[in-house]
Amino acid sequence: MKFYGKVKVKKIEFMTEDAFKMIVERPDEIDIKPGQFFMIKNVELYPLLNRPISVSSYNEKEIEFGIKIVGTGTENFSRLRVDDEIILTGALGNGFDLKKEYKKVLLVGGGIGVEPLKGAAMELTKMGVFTKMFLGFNNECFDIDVFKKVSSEVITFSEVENKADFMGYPTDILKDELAKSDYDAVFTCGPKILMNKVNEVSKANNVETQLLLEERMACGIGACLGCTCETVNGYKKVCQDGPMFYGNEVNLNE
Amino acid sequence: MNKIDMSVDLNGLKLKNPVTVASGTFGFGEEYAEFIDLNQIGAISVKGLTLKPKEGNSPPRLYETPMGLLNSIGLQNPGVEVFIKKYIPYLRQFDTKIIANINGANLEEYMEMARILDNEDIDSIELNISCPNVKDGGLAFGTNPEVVRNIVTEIRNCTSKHLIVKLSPNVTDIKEIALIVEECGANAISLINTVAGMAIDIERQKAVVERKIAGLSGPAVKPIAIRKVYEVASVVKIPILGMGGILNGNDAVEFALAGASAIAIGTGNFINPNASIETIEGIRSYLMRKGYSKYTEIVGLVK
Repeated sequence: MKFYGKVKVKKIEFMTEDAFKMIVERPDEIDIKPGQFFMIKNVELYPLLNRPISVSSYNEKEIEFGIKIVGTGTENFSRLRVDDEIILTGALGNGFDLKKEYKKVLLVGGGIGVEPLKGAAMELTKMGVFTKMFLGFNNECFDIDVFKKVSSEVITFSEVENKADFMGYPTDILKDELAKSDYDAVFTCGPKILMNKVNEVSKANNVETQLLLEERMACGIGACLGCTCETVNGYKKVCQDGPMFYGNEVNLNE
Repeated sequence: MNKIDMSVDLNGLKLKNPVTVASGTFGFGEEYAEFIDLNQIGAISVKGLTLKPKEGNSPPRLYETPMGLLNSIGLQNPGVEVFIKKYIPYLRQFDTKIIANINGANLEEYMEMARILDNEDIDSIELNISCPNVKDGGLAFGTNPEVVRNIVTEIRNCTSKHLIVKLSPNVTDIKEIALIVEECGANAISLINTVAGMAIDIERQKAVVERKIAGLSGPAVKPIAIRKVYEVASVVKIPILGMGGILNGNDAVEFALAGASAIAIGTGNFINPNASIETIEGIRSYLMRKGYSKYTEIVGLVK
């Protein structure tokens, strides 16, 4: 059985003006994989639908979400206080495929999309996989100390000068990185334009890509058929068939 | 607690309790079985079926409105053959009634499906002549009284199964349609299907879904649904399966008082996978609190 029920908020911490970290109690006996998500709802009736939010990281007692405020639902979450309750459903979706044969994985994230890569890097590192992260931000970087703890190497990018290791985008040096080193896979999450570029470059270098798609959802569990995406194998459900898709399955050009 | 009799008989379809789940909101039950015990639900109306597999409308398909949900799924389903081979056996593992919701692009397709399903192990056929999200059939059929007369008569001749006809709220006089459905031999009426609606993205200056018109569901439509149930209950003798924005026991009781012999949870399943079970408990506790011994005692109390 999957979990549905109330849990307590342990911490809300803003990372930027419109992005925050929400840490909640982890219910007993639920399995979580990086790249999975939870449907989250405030206890009040409005707004009606749950919001699908990717797991950022987790331990035995807590689950951490990195959330960007994009509307009423996420804004309400940002106003929660310690010990307030929220309603969780999950964990849902397939999550990243952490293959035993991986020795070296590059993780490329952009914006709030860096967050789900945190859990992925954490698990890969535990498995003994070498990980390197390219993290892109539109201004200030956030949570870099944490990323450095879970990954062998972290390189940051910002659209603004003097805010990160490089000014620009993770994709600026991706080609060289993949050419000079033999990665087994690239994991990516972020704006479609970023994931599309990452996917193209990895394809050209024969490196497998795992990416996380995002879509509006009603149920999050595969019943409503609302979060359809187009793949080479026809329509798929982002919530149930994904949110992780391999780069060669999807076409991110709009 | 167990002294309350929750069973209902929808004119030949006997349910252990009046709580069912609406077509299109519960798949074929598999997803929800990971959260709840399907044995507890009165009946499951499966995802709307078509003769051949249907891939549905292009995304985006959903848009949230204040207390409502606009959908433009377009009857994505694996087709009636897959339903028969895979999902009837799956659902038969559980002690719940199976309602097959059928959709056709034309009369012949509806009839073909009714004939096919007549030989299968299902408990009821729900004739969907009210889906707003397809080009052919659906709403275009369900809003024209003469078309309704023709299709229900023909389907009645194709099958001896228990027959439910699902009505659209998008009509001027739902009583007229309901009376025709009753006259043509339907065993029960389900209502309401979604309310045709529309939303516009003001930045892109485009409708939020490709087909522009979509189906509105959720608590936003509940007062419309209550009114339609009440109106239909005032003119027909066959039982009504009421739905539209039910989230809990109190909502369900409102439908019962308006005249619904049974109810369905639709969008509520999306918000809370446990909604159907909580609704059963909620109805039961209302009946206890008010001193009733049977659910049927409260059906249609509001005249």
